[in-house]
Amino acid sequence: MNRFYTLLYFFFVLTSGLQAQFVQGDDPLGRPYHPMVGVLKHEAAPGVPTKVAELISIAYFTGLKNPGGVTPPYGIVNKDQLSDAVRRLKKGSSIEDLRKSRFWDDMVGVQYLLRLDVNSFEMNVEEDSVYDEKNKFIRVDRHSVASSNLTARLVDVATSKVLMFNNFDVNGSTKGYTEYKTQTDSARALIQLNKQVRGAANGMIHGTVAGAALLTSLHEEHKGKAEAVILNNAPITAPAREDGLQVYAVLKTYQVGDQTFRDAEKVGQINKGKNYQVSLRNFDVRKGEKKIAEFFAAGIPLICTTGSFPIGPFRPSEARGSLTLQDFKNTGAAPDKVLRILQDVLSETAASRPLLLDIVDRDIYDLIQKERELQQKTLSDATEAGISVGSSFYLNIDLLGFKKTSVLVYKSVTEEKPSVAATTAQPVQTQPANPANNTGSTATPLKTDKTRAGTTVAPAPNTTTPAKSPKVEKITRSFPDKYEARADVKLKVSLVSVKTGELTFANTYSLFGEGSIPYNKVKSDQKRCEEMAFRNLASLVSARVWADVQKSITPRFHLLEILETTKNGAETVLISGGQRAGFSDDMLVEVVEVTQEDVDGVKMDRELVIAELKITTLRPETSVCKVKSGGKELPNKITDKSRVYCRIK
Amino acid sequence: MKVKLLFMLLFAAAGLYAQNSKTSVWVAPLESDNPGSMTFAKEAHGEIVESFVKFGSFSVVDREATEFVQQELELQKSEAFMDGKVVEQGKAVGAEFIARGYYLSKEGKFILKIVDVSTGNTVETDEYKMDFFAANYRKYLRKMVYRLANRWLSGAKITVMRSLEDKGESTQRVLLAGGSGKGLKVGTQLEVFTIEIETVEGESLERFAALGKMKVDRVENANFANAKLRSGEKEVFKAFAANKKLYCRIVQN
Repeated sequence: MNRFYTLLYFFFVLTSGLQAQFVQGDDPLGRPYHPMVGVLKHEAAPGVPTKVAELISIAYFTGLKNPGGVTPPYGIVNKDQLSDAVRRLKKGSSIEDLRKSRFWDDMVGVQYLLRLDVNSFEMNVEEDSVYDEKNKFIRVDRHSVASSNLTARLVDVATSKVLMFNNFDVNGSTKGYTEYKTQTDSARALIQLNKQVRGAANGMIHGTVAGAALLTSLHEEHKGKAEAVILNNAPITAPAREDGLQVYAVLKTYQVGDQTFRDAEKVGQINKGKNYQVSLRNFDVRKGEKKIAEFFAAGIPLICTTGSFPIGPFRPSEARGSLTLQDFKNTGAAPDKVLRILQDVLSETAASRPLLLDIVDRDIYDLIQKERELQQKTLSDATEAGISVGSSFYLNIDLLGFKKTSVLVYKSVTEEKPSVAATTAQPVQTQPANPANNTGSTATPLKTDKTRAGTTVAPAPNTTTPAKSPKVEKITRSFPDKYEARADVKLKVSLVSVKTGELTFANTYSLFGEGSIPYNKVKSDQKRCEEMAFRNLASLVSARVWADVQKSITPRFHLLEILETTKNGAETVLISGGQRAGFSDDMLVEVVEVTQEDVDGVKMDRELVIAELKITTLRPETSVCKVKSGGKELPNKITDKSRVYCRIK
Repeated sequence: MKVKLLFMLLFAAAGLYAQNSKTSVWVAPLESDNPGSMTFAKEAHGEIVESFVKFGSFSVVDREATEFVQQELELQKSEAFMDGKVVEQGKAVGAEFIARGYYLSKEGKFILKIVDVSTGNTVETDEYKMDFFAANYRKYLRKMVYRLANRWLSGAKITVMRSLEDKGESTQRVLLAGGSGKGLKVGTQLEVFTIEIETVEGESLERFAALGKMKVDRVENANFANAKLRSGEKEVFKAFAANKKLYCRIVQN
């Protein structure tokens, strides 16, 4: 019987293992259906205990690998282990030698590399004054707080483009009456911190690395509507029933120079239905039943993905500039943490604002190159070779000064009450309290002191009043109200063209951020308030710097096709650049023609705006525009595409 | 692989056809008579660099990031970038002029000189003495740079390419072979002239024969602008008809 259960157990284990197997293969656009992410060894800043950094790193890795019990839409490889293995391998070892290595399974080529940097770690003891209602006394609660600042970066191996950059703070705190148990509390705080790290890692890279699948057939169709479809693979192993996959119809592919642009339109959504079978990969159509059926019948490729972008794998694009963010210079001698966060927030914004530039990584470039070499050695086709993106700009930042200040602001409350002398004075005559209360007496009512307007003086009821006008005593009491903090920074920023060495943009910024936290008898609030001010400052610096950089760089886009023509010329056109480039509806676009003029024997570029467009439909990699002016000339002008480009107005 | 790299480099070199008419300047670090005021001098240098960049008519070359730029250019020559995106090699801009600044701390005075790299001659100079309100020094430094730049650029003659719009026998608008790179802005007032050679005691001398006045109404880019004639429309038309070479210079910017 026992043997039966053992067999049954193995059967379940095997079948559950089989569920994770899918048909290998990419979508027709070359996008991997199940991308692999290589996690590099973490980098700990000086001062961060090695063991703590390791624990945080493990927690982050665990969070990535097991995001809330759902199988992630990517595979994870520990490149830290692998680097040891590769080091041990002899130079010139054959593919067979490598295959025999016990690390062969880890040698799978990855599309993305991820590194976690532990920038700081602090363990503090906080004190809370809490009124214990039960025992009627104020007790001081002490608890340890572990806090750390981390940076996670995700880089595309083929192009060295930074796809995600995230600087985040994590804290772990254990509250309790632990006056003399601080040591134990510290460990518990670290556990809490690691829990938060796991939570932060959960799903952090989901949208960026999600794979894609091809819709191969219609499973159920009714009256020209697709009700269920079948995919060539399941792009994510287990999308929850409510998490649908977006369906994109790839209408047309354009080639300009050596660049490919895919005009893809979102046509519907599918999700796992009740009858979902792993072996069949049948999905129910939730939106766009009619369109999906129509496009499928017309033979248009339908791509399904969890993340919306990119439709294809990343490729270098001539239409976009690229930028390297090097380490700041620190003339102002600000703390390392300040420097790091300011720098990271800038990178974060740059990586998440695609209209600006592609951000390329040179910090871990050596590691990316090692991965490429490994892929070459192991004959892996995980990434395309030789398509690195070179940096066309360099952002040079010099931190000239930094300071942060915080104060505890007191609130003054003035109370007025009759002075002791007035209340004890003997009444000498009868007088009403005020005219409203006049009970018929002819006595003159009391004059109201303007400075005390609004205050009620309560004289002795009825008939008595102090001998002189009533003396009111002002009592001013001050209460701690809130912490206020301010962080100031002075930065010199310049954008240098790698091609020419020219300064494209230069500016000095003097900015400040403010923070405020209501006073709550918690000592660490002051520090938190300073942090708040600093974080606000970092966001402000990032917003201002990138807004100015954007003004100084004009990304160029292509006019792909004239979609509609009337007797007045071009009516609607299709241009490269869409949601992925950060475009928005109603954006105005200029079509520029570049000609050359001979000026005293020297050829000079002349740029003329020949048409103005307005974006009407946004698609992932393209945009449909209405021609506002210049439509008549446009059909003749776009024959030589190399001489015409589009720019945001 | 190597053939491909060679092809890539040749392709990059083929982009040498067009030129930009901006004057290139390198702003040398500010010199000071007092080592104690170097931090201040560094900040002031940053302001002068920024002012030249913001003026918009110059190619301000950077020498602080040279090391990084060189590293990046070297990296882009490697095989990893074979089919990737690379910037053109060998296109670094050399400085035609050097802006040399001095800070005399005792007098609180800034002196700025523009030196021609090819001849070593000082072509323009300006100075600014800090008053009591030193906090505003950045504003005044910028004014000094703008003043100097305007004076410097207004001396240059700009070729008038051709007529863009004629009305009968008078020219209405013209194309100028100078744009933001020559300091032109919408509203810049210009004088249009031809160069005539006069012989004075056997020596041939150039004489600028004014034909009329015009105003910039559109700046196309760094290289080209359009101007509308305010006077001398007929004279300019005749000069074009006679195939005379026309120039203009800034009267007021």
